[in-house]
Amino acid sequence: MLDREIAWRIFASEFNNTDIMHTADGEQSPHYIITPTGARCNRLFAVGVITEVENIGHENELWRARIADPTGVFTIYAGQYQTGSSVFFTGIKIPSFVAVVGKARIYEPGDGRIYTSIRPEELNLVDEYSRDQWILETAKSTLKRIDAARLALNSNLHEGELIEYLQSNNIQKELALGISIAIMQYSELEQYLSELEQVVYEAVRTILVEKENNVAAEQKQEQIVDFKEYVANIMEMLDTGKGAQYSDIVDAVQKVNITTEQLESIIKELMSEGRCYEPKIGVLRTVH
Amino acid sequence: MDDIYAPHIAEIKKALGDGVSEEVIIADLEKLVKYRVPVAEAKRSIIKKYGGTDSVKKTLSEITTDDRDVEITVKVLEVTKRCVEIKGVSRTILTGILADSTAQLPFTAWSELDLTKGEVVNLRGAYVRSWQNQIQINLGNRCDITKLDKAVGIEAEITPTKLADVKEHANNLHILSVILEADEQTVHTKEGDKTIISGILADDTAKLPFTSWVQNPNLTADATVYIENAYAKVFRGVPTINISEQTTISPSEKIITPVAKATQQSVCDLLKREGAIDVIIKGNILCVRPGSGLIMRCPECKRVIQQNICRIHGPVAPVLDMRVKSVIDDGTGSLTLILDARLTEELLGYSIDEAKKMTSEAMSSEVVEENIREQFVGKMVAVNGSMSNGEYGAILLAESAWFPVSDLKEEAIALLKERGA
Repeated sequence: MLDREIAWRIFASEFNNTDIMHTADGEQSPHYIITPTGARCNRLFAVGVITEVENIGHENELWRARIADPTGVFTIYAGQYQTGSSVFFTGIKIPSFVAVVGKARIYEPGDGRIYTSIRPEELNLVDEYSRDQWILETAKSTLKRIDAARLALNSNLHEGELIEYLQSNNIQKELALGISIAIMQYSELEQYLSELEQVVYEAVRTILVEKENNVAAEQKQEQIVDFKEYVANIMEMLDTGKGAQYSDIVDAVQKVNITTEQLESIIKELMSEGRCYEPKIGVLRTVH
Repeated sequence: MDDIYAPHIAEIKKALGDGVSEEVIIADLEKLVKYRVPVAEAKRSIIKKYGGTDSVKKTLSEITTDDRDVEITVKVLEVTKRCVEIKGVSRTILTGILADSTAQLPFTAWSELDLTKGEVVNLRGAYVRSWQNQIQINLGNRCDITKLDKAVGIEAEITPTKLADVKEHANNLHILSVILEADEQTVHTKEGDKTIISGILADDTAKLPFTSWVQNPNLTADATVYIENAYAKVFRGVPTINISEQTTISPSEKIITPVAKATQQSVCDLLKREGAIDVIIKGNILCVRPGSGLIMRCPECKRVIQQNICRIHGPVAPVLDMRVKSVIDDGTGSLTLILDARLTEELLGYSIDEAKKMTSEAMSSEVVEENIREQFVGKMVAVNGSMSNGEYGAILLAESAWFPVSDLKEEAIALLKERGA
């Protein structure tokens, strides 16, 4: 059975610094890009923030979207054959957290410039946590590739010998193959690796930014604007026929940062409005 | 002549002894190469021409699958008789393990050759085949056996095979492991009911199931045992250690630390194996395959059916089921991940009945599959289950699955610290 291509984790910065294409021997063999750290990449997986969507096609649909990670921006092109994509892009809100699985593409307009892009296979909305998870995972695997590429540069070996040497150092075959090509084709690679390493650290540091400033915190606040309704709902949910235990309600609302004092006053309010009563001490029921 | 032929010339010289000069060999080889005869054939032809033995002397570590005719001096570490049917005729063959000071290789003798465990022999006319991706020495009718004095002594002992390295169809396996579970079971065979012992073995590399077709007092849970002469067979996608009459099991004093509960590993490492139980991987769901969500099964054979008609059993009253068929990828490789109804319910947060309601409310059978896609694609999932790696590719059947949650800030700080950044 044909092996499915690995989905590489690559930061936008490295992806956009890629200018090498590689096709394995043999008919119908897949196209790869070789990134500076030697990812021999046909497919990639990225999570970022979608910042722009536009249908730039004339007769046929052609969607262009931009998905940003902390290091740069991935350009996404989806044509008429990526049917799921057009549905996704039509309904998308900007900005939102998006996961994309797709094929790595390189476009050379012929004036010496080279553009990389992703042709999506899958697109989905995700949450901020998944984005941070991706940054961390991508940082780890990029650093692993940087270390491997340095090992290759210092070994002074080439091609077959180098691939063997890297594999004997527990480096995966696909990466060893990619690195053997990258160190031949990228000039001043050593310096680039140091620069990229700093870019990776900067990306990791974005995870440390206080959550209060982040989008998710705002969303959470928005979700529970009405504490009173929230408590009333909790009370009803916890009621299995004989009322809800007060202590259970305390536990439940703690998760959304309602303090015990706030809870007390909310319950008082609900009682005075005749929406709940206390059939026994420590037990609450809602009135229907 | 190019350097690339130097090893071949050396090999020819070794086979012919001092009788033939190097120039003559080079001249002959050059000629044959010019005619584009493959090197292996050229070697053979030259050796035969000068009356050398066909067999090329080699050590076991030098043997490759291209060798057609080799001479080896080896110790027989293990030999067992087996009855097999070859083209409808039942024959007795020998399988076992040969070793010299450089390596160990399995062998098969296609007739009952005179080989006993522990003796040192010189074998001429052996040939090499690759069987199930493993180099194997074959001894046919043309094989010459010369018994050597034991004093020639080859210091070789069987090194036990690690469970992670057990391949499908491996014979004469020696395994040092801890028995994690052992239960008696009655199975129905062609020869009537039989009591077998089945359970799980573990060493420091992996866990594998075992089946013993014989009773053995040493097969008890928590015992550490040295198993000699077992064989492996794939059962439900996982290599299973089989214990037969020819297997010996002895208690071992060695201390084995069995792999802790399931260990997390990279997909690329997992894919090197032909099957495994109790593994954990962590990766992102990259796509949800069609056929996920609510499905109908035949009540008889459990096959997935459409329009209440089973391929085998005709019109049936279908049984409702739910599953996720997906691709999980951790950046090192990917495999198919299957979640059954219980796990699908757990991760989705609603039951089959609720899914059925959703379907009838939306008047679409795709709504659950679509919802699974929305909830899963791009998400990181950790899975514990068993993996089979056969003709349908690598499939991980989950026993438990969860969305891993950890303190990413803490991990980020640890990573920066580790790198000195």
